[in-house]
Amino acid sequence: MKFTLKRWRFCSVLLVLFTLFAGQCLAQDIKGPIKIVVPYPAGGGSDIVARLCADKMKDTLGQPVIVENKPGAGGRVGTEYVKGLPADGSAMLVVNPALFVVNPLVFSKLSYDPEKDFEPVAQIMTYQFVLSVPATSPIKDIKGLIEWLKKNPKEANFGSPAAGSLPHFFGLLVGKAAGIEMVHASYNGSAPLLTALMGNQIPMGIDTFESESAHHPDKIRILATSGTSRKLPDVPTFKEQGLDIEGVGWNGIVVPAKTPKAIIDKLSAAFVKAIKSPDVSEKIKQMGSDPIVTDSQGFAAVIKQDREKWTPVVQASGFKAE
Amino acid sequence: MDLYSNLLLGFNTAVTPMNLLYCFGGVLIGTLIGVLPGIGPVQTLAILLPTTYSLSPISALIMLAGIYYGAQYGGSTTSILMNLPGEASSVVTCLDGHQMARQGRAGAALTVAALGSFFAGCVATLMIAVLSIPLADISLKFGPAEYFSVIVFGLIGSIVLASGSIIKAIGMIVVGLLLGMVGTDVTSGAQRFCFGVSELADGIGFVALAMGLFGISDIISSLEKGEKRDILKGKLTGFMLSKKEFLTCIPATLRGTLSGCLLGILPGGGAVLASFSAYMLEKKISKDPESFGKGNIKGVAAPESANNAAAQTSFIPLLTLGIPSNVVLAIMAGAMMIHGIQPGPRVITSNPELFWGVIASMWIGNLMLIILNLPLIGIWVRLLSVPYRVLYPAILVFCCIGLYSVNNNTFDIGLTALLGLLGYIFIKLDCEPAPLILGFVLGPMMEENFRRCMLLSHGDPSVFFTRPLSLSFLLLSLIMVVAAGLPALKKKREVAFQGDDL
Repeated sequence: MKFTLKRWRFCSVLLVLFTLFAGQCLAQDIKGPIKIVVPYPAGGGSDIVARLCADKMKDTLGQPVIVENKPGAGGRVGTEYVKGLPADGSAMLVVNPALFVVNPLVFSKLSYDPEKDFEPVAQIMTYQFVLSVPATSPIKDIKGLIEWLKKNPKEANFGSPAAGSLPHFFGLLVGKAAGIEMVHASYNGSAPLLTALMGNQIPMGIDTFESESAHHPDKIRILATSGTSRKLPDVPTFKEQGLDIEGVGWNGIVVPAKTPKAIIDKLSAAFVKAIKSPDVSEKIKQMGSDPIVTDSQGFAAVIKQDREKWTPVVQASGFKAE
Repeated sequence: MDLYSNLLLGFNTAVTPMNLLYCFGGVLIGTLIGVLPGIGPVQTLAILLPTTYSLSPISALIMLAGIYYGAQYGGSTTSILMNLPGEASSVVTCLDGHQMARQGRAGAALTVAALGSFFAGCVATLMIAVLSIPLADISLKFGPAEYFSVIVFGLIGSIVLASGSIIKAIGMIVVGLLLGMVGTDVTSGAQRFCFGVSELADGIGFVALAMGLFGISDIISSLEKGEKRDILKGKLTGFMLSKKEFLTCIPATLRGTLSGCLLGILPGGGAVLASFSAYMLEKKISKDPESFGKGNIKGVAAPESANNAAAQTSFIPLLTLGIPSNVVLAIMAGAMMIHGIQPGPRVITSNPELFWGVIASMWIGNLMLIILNLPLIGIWVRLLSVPYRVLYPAILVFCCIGLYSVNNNTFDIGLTALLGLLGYIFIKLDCEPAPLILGFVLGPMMEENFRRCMLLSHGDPSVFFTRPLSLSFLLLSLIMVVAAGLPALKKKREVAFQGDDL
């Protein structure tokens, strides 16, 4: 059989039709490579999780998924950046309570509105806060801490990794629940806070479990964790020790507002699958966080719940970022 | 012997063909990115982090560490040849190194930098192996009061030892302090001098500042000088050192190494303090301090060995306490976590082959660097004979790429252009930018620690004088001020400091 010109034409018409048809099918799909924007420098907790997810999702979605770091201004630069990207699922952002719950309360002119500019996709992990003291400290538990603070009011200081961070506000919750006026000293991140704790420069520090777990119990002693259940088998929660407070931080994924529902669902499912895969879960646990994942509705509920929880605390602190 | 068996374990781990390959790859990449102005180890590590997923944690860390100290080696090349410091610690290298290059002695400057760095790297590696645990404990003794006093000591030292117009030196430090104020206040979380620009909330980027004040302003003023504007002023001489130079460099290198090893373990500005103080020390004890800033070879040897030693010993807090002392090491900590190793005090006991393997690889990496770099010097030096009209656009392009990659943001490029203009004004006013850099880096640290200390003591300033370490640094500062005021010394100072440098 010979390929005549006619036959060639027929073939190419078929080909064109096929391509058009395929294009039609893909209309609900996401064009081009998908990027997960991490508004922090590479190497941090949220960056690592985003990279782990990206690695899994490229197989689930069948297209390249890359992580882009856009650090600056405690995450605000990256958030502003994603706000302006196309709402077609090709750009996602990793967010946390500081960006989505605290910032709207402490900035009078915030360049984004968490509710109007973004749609939640999935919560991908949570992390507990811990209260720790230097390993050389005589304080053994929360009860002992409260007694000690009442005896030494001049030493009633606590350190947090940053002013206006959730550990800062959690510390205020602790002080309120214990009925003690505590002075807050902010450090320039978790590392300097840890150094100060280990060197006995400050009587106690509040930070995420992830930052402090490795040093327990050689250099610091964790007195309590902030979740509803124990994070460490031998360390009771605040609730168990008589302080009625709890709270966790989280990382979640959002996309620019007006992204089609079908695309959000597709991305959400891909995240749930990625986090639930055993190796990713295991790595998140190794980092000291919890691989707790929810879909878009679940994440929206978490954000709403945390707004209600933290708004009175932040407002009572009088903290303003400008 | 315990140390012996530990080191043996380390070398056994580090000399497997695979790990040697990754070590070589790391130092090679490090050297290359160090030489490209603006593209620093931070961006490179961030880009290469995902590629280490598939490696074993030891190979991954060996490679990443290699990139880090390799970049310190390479970084001195641009400082010397182009007056472009890539990071705070190589600012001082520019002062005498670039002058040497202008006199056609770039080869000798690069050789001294390489040899000094190699020596410092070896000593620092040995020190990590022997002393890392006690040293880490010392660094914990540094509370806010101690930090404040050390910084006061550093700033006063730089003013007392300043040359030429002391008023100008103080003025430049103050400008540096003011520029350092921009950004989010650590203590209160308030935004200062940001004018609603989110990109300024983290302060002015160091790379942008150093490039603007040194590199870009240098290009502007070179272009102004008209036809004959090649960097090279004299005849290009060989890169071998004379015997006399070699001998004068030995003590300077030793002193630089010592300050680097000690100050490098301090979290925060260790490497910066180390290279500045090494330079100041050399100038102070020198018989001809006026030659500093005009191409004195000791002004290259001391700070270069100091910053390389500090780069190595800055691993001590990470490996023993799990505390990253700068951004690069924070990425390394992230790399460890990806591999399921929590950086912290338990690394030594739970992963001894990793701990000692990385240390052993540092020595091997330093050896590779010197073998790699000495033959390259000839090639780098030849860059100077490239006509300036070809060279400067290339430098500018590389600067822009580097600046963009710091934050993946174009804002820094615009900021650098402005700072370049500022630097040009400083050149016209005959003001040296080095004290400004010192004020910029140390000022915010001083403020942060002072305020934290006052908060923790509930407003009682006596804490600065009751803590022994803090008191001793304050007393040393006082002695320096008094000594500078004494008539006999004052006279000597006036004779001594007629140069126009630090």
